[in-house]
Amino acid sequence: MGSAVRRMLNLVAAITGSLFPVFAANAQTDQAWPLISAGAYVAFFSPSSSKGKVPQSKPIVVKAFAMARNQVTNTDFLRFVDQHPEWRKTEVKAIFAERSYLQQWPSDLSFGAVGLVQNPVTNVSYFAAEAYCEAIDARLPSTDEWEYALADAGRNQKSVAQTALNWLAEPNHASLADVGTATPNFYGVSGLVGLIWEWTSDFDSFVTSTELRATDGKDSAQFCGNGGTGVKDTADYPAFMRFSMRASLKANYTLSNLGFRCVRDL
Amino acid sequence: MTRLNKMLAAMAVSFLMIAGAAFSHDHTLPAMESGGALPGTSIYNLTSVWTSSDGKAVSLKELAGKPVVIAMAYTSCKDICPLIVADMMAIEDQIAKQNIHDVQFAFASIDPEHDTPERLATYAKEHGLDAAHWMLMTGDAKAVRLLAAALGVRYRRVDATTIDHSTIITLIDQQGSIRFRRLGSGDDLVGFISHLADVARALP
Repeated sequence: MGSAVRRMLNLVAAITGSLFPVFAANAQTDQAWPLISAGAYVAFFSPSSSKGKVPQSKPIVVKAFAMARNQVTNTDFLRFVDQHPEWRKTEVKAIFAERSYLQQWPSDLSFGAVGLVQNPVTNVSYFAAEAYCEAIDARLPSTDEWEYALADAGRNQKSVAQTALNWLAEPNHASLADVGTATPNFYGVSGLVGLIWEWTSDFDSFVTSTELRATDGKDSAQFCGNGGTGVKDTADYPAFMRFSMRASLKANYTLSNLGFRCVRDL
Repeated sequence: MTRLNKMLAAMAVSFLMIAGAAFSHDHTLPAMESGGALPGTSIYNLTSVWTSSDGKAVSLKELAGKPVVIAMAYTSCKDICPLIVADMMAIEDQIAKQNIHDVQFAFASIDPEHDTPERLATYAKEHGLDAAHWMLMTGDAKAVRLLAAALGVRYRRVDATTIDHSTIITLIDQQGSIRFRRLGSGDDLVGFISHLADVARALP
């Protein structure tokens, strides 16, 4: 039944999506910032309310927005730190980024090898990603927006899941591929899965369990998948992984396979 | 990528690096306090502007100089927030018994849509929060997001009237660095109070 419902919702999403571009007539969208048309999708995980009600997988309505085709690259980020010295690796405040921030860059204003110009920038904290997007009049996508763009109105999802699975199955690469090499999805967004993890603006909103109200109050109690209740599709392993990945992050964390892309309101 | 592209890219990068070196001196450094720079670990490096319950624009930095006990919650919260505030009031009482009075208590709303300054003022009055020691504040969505990120507070709107959120109470020292966190509302306050006493007795 679950998959039938999903197919229907995907259809609804596709239809609403195709109805909405009217609103996007004067939007600043182009190949670099493809339009993600409005629609609805069912989040991977619907939090049960604090009152312990049975979680319901209600579709979430997502407004149209523009999403960067690619992740932010080393070149992009170098331009940013050049203009915003407070985000250089030797200048950044400890509260905004842990020590491994940009650790792969040999110095403040160099990311090293020329071959890395189109590599996604990684080892960037949430605060740095926020500041970058703001500096280009954009913002980080919400988790809903990000997942909605990946869901691609239900198109080609088998292949998306396979790409994600393959990536998860591989050990960490010594080097990353360039951004934009993956075939874009139907919206025109490339490489949402298969290259790096990406920050979302509300990565820290996933308070998954009512244990928060339990007496031990330990952080670890917050990171449990709540026994799988409230999960849309328990077979969607990559979605589980993204979910737990986000739940495990803190805003000053930096990882060698965690970067970001920005979105813009229309 | 072709060899030509690579070469062009290399030239672009070297240009950027040279440009970076050339321009870097034109930038003014972030504002420093007359008393010296804030430590990198200070939450007062956050520059968001908040509004206090008396309607004034405040930056977090204005709390500097005293130990601060801060929590993020919202006034219409029926479940855990009254407990958080009750715990903070208990801290206030117990620390007063140790003859420590110069502590700032701060309540930052995670519900800026509903928590207007007026509402915060009403809430403070209803709970008998002493304006001399308490600051209730509300900010825009971004200010809330960044402070929550800095304090490790997780929150999520569940429905129109409910926001699930962490129950963390954080102790911040005179310069804004986090010194202690009480994670769950069930934990006793002994550890928090002893850390607060240490911070308060240290010379600022």
